[in-house]
Amino acid sequence: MTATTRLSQPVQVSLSLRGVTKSYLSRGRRTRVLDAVSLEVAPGEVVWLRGPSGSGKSSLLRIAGLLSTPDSGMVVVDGLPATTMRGAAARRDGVGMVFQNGNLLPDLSVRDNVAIAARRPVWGVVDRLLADFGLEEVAARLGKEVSGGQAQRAALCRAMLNDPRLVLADEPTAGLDPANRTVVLDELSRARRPDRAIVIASHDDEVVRVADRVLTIDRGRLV
Amino acid sequence: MSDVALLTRATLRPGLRSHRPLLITIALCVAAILTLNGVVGAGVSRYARSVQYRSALNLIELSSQGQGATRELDDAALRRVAGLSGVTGAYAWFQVDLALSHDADWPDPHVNPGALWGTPLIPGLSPQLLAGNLPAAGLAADEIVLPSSVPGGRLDRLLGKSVTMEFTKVVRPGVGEPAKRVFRVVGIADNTTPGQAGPTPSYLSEQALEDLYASSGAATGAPMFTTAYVRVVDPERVPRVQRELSEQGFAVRSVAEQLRSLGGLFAALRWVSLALVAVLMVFSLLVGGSVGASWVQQRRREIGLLSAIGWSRRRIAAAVFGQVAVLGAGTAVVGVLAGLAGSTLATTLIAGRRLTLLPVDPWGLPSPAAVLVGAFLTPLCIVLGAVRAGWRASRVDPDDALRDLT
Repeated sequence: MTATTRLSQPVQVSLSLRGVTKSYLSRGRRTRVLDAVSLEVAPGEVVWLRGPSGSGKSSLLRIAGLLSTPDSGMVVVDGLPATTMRGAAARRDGVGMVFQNGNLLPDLSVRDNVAIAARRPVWGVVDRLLADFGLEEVAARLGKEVSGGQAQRAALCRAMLNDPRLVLADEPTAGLDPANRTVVLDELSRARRPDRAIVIASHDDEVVRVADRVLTIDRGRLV
Repeated sequence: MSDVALLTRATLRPGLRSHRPLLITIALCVAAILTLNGVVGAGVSRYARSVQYRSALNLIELSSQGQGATRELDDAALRRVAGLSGVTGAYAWFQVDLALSHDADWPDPHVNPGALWGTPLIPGLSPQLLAGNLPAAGLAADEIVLPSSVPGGRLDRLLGKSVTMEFTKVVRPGVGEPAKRVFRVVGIADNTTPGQAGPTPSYLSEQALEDLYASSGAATGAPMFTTAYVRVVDPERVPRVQRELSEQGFAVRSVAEQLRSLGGLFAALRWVSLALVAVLMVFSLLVGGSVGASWVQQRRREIGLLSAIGWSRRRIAAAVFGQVAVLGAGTAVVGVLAGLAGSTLATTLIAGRRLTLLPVDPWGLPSPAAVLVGAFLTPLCIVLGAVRAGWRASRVDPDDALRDLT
């Protein structure tokens, strides 16, 4: 077995973190944000990662999303160890990330914001996704011109464009009104598929409605 | 359309908005360079034609009134000058005031074309003919070459026709009366670049001029002239003959010297043009650096986001270069178009003003090489200037950039 072959066939685990530790240097002081975290998320599973602000939810999601490397420990995404993956390509093809407040590019239309997730966007696929998420009417509007709920749905749309096996959503309902929170969670729920794992980091209790499993993190440790 | 092209297209307008003053300055620089180049080119072209048609490099202008002149110019003096070693001829130069007698010959019956100064046709100082031909043996006494352009319009239609020219005949001191003489028009001369003969000279044979000069009553004794031209066997002997004539008490100046000073002016303009190209290159590099740097600074969060959704470093750098290149190319196109228009306008205006010091052909365009420099070197320098910014953009850590958000 080469380093880039999947650890098991078929994939039993979409995301696996083993003994992951991460610390940041802040104002000359090293702060440990994740302390020997281990978890596994199976395909088809929706996991709610909850915890107070600063507990390490976002850091864990960034490491799982291959945006950040742990100080120690092992990360396996969709059967491949993170150390063997080319960051950008793996992020584009394997992981769909949804950030807080949508994070659309303000000068791009909603349609273009979704399309830029693919190297050569297929417009038919983009438009179908936008229709699925009820965004056809705002597709031509700029990222800075849409509401928070629409931006978050567009971000979700963008995360789904490359058909990822792992979706990571960081506070997807933050700052949304109850109606939009419900819509966004419904869309996340609709994104569920037998071969796709979804991890939602949030302190919004409504997430429990769509989650199969709840993990609580506090001071960098899963409790 | 690729993702990079998509981003470039979308961020073009904001980029244009935030860097408009710099980009306008570059476009103006390109336009100025091309305009200067067009003027220089039109001048060089005129200069080349001047040398070609006039073959005046072996002529010396002799004056009895210039600085250092102590001798008078008359027929006897001219005969002596013509006998000098290396001199093939000496020609008196003077003008007689002529006018078209019949208004039917005027281009516009309501606008008097004014004085068409009768001027001798000196070998080597022949005007460029736009129509007609100069007879090989020179003009006959009843032949005339008219200027093409006069107040009220053009005289081209008079070619081949007979015209009556009017001049003032002096009947006694202080009293004159109009006199007329008929000439056949054998040529129409280009007078867009006026020289010593003034803006609207007509050309006559030496014989006809002397007749007019005599009948005008101006010559009461032996004819005296203020200017004459001396033809030397070849241009290399000009300095020696010039020195000899100067020693004899004439103010002298070679036509070659005048042409050289004109050449000096165009050479200076060419140097200014080259200096402007250097300034443009440096400025373009700086603007490229500035546009790229501000793109990265303003869009750091977005670059982090792009990286997070799977954009490689290379594609992020390409997005920076794409933006800068499109802005640079657009600026260059605007600059080149403005330069083409500026060159045409400037040469036409200068040619219309008939500046003796800056004779140029109208409708002059910059050289293709200058257009290529403007169109390609400018965006290239702008992109090169953005290399550092592109490198920095590709190194933005998505984790850092996005951590600022949450």
